[in-house]
Amino acid sequence: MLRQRSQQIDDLQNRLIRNMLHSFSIVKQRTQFLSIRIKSTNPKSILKRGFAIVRQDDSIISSVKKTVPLRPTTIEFHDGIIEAEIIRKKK
Amino acid sequence: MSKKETKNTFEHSLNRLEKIVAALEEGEVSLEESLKMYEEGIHLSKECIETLSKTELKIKQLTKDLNGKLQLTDFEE
Repeated sequence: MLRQRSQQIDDLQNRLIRNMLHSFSIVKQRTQFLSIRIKSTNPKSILKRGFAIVRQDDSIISSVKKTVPLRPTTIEFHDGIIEAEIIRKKK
Repeated sequence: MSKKETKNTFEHSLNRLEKIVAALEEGEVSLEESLKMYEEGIHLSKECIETLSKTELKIKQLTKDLNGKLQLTDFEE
């Protein structure tokens, strides 16, 4: 009887460990996969292709219409930021 | 923080990270918004990985052999 119970405990213990390791492994894989994916969505990676981010008053400007001449402007390249000045809009 | 609260926080962070990744991969987000989301996503990612490392260590510590001795259990990669 005692031996049987002891064996039962051993089995349960092994199952507990196995299940815990399995559950953890699944969560770990999911987390690692998401970590890889988030890094690949870096919005600034496009800057290496020659694009730049233009800002005025710390807001991103995505249209010529939204620019204000002579207002402090920055242009962010993949390797740094410069201060610029918009003289006029070209028609 | 209780164990349940830790688990909920981790799950919450992971679910939020998943949503951010999906949104950014879809590409329908404005540049300004994508920069904010990316920053949040990187932060969540680091947080989750840190939690996982601590949990992994704890699991190793808790795994004991039949005689009650500490037994380090390697995880299958």
